[in-house]
Amino acid sequence: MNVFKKLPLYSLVRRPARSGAMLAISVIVAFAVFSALLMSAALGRGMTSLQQRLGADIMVVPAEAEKKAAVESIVLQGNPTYFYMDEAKLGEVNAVEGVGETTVQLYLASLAASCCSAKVQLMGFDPATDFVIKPWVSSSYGKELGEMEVVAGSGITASAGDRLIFYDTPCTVVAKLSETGTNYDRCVFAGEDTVRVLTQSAIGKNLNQFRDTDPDHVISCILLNVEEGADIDQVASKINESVDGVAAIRTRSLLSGTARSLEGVLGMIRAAAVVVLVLGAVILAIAYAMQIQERKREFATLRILGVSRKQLSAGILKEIAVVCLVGGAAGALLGMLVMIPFSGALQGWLNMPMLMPGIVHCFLYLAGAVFLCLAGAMPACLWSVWKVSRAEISDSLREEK
Amino acid sequence: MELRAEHICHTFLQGGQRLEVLKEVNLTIQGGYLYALQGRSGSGKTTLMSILCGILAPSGGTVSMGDTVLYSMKDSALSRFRGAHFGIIPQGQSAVSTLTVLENVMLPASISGSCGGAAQRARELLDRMQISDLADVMPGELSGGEQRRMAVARALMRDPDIIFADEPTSDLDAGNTEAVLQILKEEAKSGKAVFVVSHEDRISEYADVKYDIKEGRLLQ
Ligand SMILES: Nc1ncnc2c1ncn2[C@@H]1O[C@H](COP(=O)(O)OP(=O)(O)OP(=O)(O)O)[C@@H](O)[C@H]1O
Ligand SMILES: [Mg+2]
Repeated sequence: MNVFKKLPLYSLVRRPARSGAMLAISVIVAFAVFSALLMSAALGRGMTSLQQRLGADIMVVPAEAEKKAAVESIVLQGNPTYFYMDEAKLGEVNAVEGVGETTVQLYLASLAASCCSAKVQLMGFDPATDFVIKPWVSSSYGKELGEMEVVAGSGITASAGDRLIFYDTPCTVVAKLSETGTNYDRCVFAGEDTVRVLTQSAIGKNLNQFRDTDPDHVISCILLNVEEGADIDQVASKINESVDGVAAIRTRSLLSGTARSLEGVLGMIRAAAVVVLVLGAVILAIAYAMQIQERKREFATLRILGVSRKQLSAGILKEIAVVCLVGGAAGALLGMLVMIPFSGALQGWLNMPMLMPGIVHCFLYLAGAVFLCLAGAMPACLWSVWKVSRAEISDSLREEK
Repeated sequence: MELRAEHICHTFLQGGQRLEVLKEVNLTIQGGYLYALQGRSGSGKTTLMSILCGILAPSGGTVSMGDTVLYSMKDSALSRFRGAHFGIIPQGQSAVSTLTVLENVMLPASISGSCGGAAQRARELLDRMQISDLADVMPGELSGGEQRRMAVARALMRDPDIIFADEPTSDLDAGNTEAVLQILKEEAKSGKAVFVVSHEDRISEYADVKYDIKEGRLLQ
């Protein structure tokens, strides 16, 4: 048994009050740093996933829908709604110079009434041309969606095989989608034709405010990518000029508000984490400076017995490192236990897309938090360690015999 | 084995004033003898012992053992040398408070990296100091006399060439004083050099060579 090598461990274990205080500080620091890392990642992933769901350059909607901010209502606020325009608009848009691939979507909102299973946003896409929803759907459901078959967002309380009823018309849930952390998680997706049938049912029951529409000849929006080399803004204004009664919106501008507040929230989270990290490092540095001062005689005794300055510094640093590692890992784990179960609540509270990273990534952030804890605390303590290792042994022994 | 201190002088800065504690001290320490260093409080006894045992570089002069000049070595080499050749009992309390008595005594062996049989030897030393029943006690629970005997055991752990003891009997009763001095005397008889700083009058009975320190100079 090498007593000297075990000394840093004994110093920690046999002085629980002293090391407990140091541990508590590193737990708090790591908790804050880990939470900040995880939140940043979750918000960033939420934003990316929102961008992917809006994976088109331009969205063309009825002019009045844009005025009523109905699009933002669906995408950003998660309030189910619907609006229509003549399907002939697709041909007009396709004729505009610079327009590349296009696809249409048809929206319908179900009601929180006895005719419907739940109040959700229904989104119909055209399987033949879709390039936005289909890649996502095929990751959970490999086949083509049949008639009256739907896939549910992860936030819908129904699982594959369940029936959902919309306007007294039953649909079968064939798959659940992976989580996106956005309002798309509370949508139900179906082929355009299925949504047309449901729209017809709604109109038949006088439950749709567009009672004089013919569901077979309307669409809700056109998603399009511009041709290679074309300027998105120019194409959008050309559509606005030449196609009557529609509004072409850059999807990026649709997200710019969210992106801005995301940046604000991220900035705040990161600033708070840096403050805690710096404060924690300063507190640890002061605590260790005091502890080292108090233990000067112990260190001088070790020096007398043949311990070199280097060995002494290494021993003390080892003690500090163990505290940072153990406290840091505990703090980060605590962060995981708190953040993951409450991510839904946080998402609602911040009203922002948020997508928690997978468990492997969580552990990477844990390692990152522990590393930052170490990287913050160790240099802050270096000066005290260096000073005590350089102290004249006879002077240290003279103090408080 | 011979430790030579030549032309040692030492000056402290005390409140901005130069305090010349040692002036031209010459001294040789040889195995087989017990040296006693006496002097008034503040006369420089601890300072001289610190210089001799390799924990305080003097302002002037050299300390050497054989071909080795102590303060010309790098810290790591000097530390290793100190651990290997000197057994030091500092003035006052010097236990590592987070180690048991036995672990404290084993510590020098662990530091040198040769732990084989260390526990066995440490127990023998504790036995010799008559504190073997305290092996697993934390030093904070020991009396002053028991702590001192633990420090003596620890100083003997690596079988050093020279034992340095600074007031090893200062807070001990007559019985304990007798016991500690007896052990140091035995070590001198067995061939080690023993250097004891002491106020104790009884040291005269044990000392082979007696020094007095007065106004920075050594008198025999
Ligand atoms: N680091 C220091 N800085 C300034 N002055 C010091 C320092 N160390 C010792 N001195 C002074 O040097 C003188 C000698 O001190 P030293 O400890 O060697 O005396 P001593 O003979 O061991 O005394 P005592 O019997 O009380 O232990 C004292 O006057 C002391 O105040
Ligand atoms: Mg002294």
